[in-house]
Amino acid sequence: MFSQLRSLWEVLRHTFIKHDTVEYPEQKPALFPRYRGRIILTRDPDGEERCVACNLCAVACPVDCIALQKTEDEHGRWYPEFFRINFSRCIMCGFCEEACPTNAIQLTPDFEMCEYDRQNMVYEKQHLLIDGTGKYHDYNFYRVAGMTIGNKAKGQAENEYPPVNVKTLLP
Amino acid sequence: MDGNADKIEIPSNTPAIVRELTERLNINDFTVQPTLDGITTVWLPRQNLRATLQHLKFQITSPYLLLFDLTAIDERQRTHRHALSDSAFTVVYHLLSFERNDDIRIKVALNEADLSLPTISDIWPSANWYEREVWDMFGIVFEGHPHLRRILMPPTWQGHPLRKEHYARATEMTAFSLPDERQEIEQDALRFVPEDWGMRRRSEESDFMFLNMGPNHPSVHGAFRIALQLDGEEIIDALPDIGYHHRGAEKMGERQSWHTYIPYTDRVDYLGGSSNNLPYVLAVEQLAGIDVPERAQVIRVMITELYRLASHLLFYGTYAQDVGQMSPIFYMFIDREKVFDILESITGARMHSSYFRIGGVAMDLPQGWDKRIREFVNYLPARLDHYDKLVMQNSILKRRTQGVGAYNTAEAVDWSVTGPGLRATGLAWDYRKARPYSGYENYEFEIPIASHGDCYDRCVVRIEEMRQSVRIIAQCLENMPEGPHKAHHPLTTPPPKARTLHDIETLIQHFLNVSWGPVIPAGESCVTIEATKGLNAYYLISDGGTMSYRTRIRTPSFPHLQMIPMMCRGMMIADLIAILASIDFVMADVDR
Repeated sequence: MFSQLRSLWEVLRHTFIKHDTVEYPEQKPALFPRYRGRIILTRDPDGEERCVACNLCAVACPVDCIALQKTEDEHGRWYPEFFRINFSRCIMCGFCEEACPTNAIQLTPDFEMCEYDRQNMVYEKQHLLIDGTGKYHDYNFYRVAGMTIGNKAKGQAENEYPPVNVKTLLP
Repeated sequence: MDGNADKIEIPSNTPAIVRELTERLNINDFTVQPTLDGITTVWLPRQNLRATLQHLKFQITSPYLLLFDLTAIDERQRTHRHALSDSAFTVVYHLLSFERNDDIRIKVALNEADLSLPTISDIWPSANWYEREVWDMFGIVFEGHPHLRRILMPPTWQGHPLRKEHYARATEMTAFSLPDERQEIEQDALRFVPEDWGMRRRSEESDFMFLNMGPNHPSVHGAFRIALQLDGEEIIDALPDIGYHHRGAEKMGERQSWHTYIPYTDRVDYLGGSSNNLPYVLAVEQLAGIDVPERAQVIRVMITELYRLASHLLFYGTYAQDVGQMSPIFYMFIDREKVFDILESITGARMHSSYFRIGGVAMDLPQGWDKRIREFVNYLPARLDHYDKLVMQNSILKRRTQGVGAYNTAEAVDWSVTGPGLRATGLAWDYRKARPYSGYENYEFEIPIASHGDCYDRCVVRIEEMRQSVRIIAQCLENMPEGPHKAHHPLTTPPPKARTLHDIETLIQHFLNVSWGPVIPAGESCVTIEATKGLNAYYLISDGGTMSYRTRIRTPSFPHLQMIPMMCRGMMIADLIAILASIDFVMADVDR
């Protein structure tokens, strides 16, 4: 009998303790920077699209929810012609972000993606692409890679030597 | 033994146990297969199977009492077959001896024309479901089995899913449709017919009532059905019906790359999160020969113990709720939320963190990672004291659970019970102590035990385990080594990202490992861990490719459920609820 009264008392005590309930949706829960939610495509510090359509996210995806097609602009930069993520398949595992060699695809702390129509869970490039750099501010793949694009010739990338003239023997 | 019989010659490098078997049984048909996990693996012909297993269980000194696992392998497409018997299908018996602290794996080769073996369900009662599973998945017949019928797939299923010729993806078959008449047939096939299971509809005194508990019932903790044979409110017999949560996790292992299978493991015991990753990545690392850096090991231990806390807290809350206390679960969810906050800050996700990688962990710990953990290890013990008063010392709860659903150590071992359910009977056997992995030998903690093996004691053990987990986490906190969080090994997947972004050689390796996946050397490896609910093992077979040839997931909950009829006979339905609550199972962990 005593133990039951004590159980009641222990429960009653909780009435006077500050409550832990988060009044969602009026009050948003605090999410951590690493939280893996809605996927975005980011831009490099110069404001250009980071994605080079290498398809690595699509093959790394355990559930095959990413589809894209490569295209090229007049300066030789590679882009995705379309980029599609089916969020009704996505399991937010972050393997795409981990696989991305240009830091283009990133997961963000946002989970509010409910839709009444399943088709609306399929996001196209215009829904995914943001204007900023996301989590990784400084990285620009084209400044690292030796690939020639409009305003950058051979030899101008990070840690890259100027090209060797193969038609001369002189040093 | 016949005095004139030729003495069998035994090669000098034969393991002691095989030598003993050869001499005692006077059989020289044993073939020893080298494996990477160090478990003695012996091939033997079908006719010697029962005698050998009986010998190992009953006659030998320090016997192999626990049937740890029973499964099969479809060997027909395997290319790296050196040292293997010529076999189309192999049935594998994995036994464990507590006294020896040793395992033995018995393999029997079968050819396609004659897929049958004698049952061992009379030697180990737990073999009953395992043999049904092997029949269901591979079509191997166990002669003398009392009820050899499908266990995971619906009774109407055509084919045997884990055979190599069985399709793995929906896209390999015609579009699914379920017309009304088909639905009728499928539903009808699920009807429980007592006579099929040897149950009588009436006794001399009374007509029995048959009650379906589940597949949707709050206290069966998932999609799980128990057909009850009742005399009034007394349970005469029970028949657990599983398979509603079967997703073919083992089959998926054969089509994902070694790397991209990691998120699937999280979802096996979905309350255990990354502690499911651990046996998987450990087994892959064993195959690949990767040594994991110390920092990654400590991070893994810390994350695993945090998940143990999350899982046990949920168990504790639902346990109290199932026997009638509504409030505790809400308080425990608050604690659990704090665990998830920590996990979210480190791994990026709450329940399915998929945080471990082949060769380490996905990301290093964030700056300031220790603050929340420090707060939490100081916070939880006081909460547990509070719950002791609220829940465990309550006389109603005690009367509902003490002496209910009790089994002793011998019964538990016979039914392949592991984990807290085994320790509640008084056997202090914890894998973390017996065979330390990931550096568990470096931590100070005790193995909590209880003595009665009833519902109450199973909870007592788990509560004490939570206190020990807090101790382990505190030690991780104080002794977190510096260094890399991933191994420096070509098969580490993916290689360190910071280098990938600036270095073409690493980038090439990165491309190969995350797309085709790492090529893991051919071999077999089984790694077991003390998971949240008992022993969880991944038995992986690599054929030297980018995908697993066979992924066997030995989960603790599967044998635990099999014991329900034995635990609840003669009890009331209300007692069954307490029993179910005390087992702490997850249906995804049962059905895989």
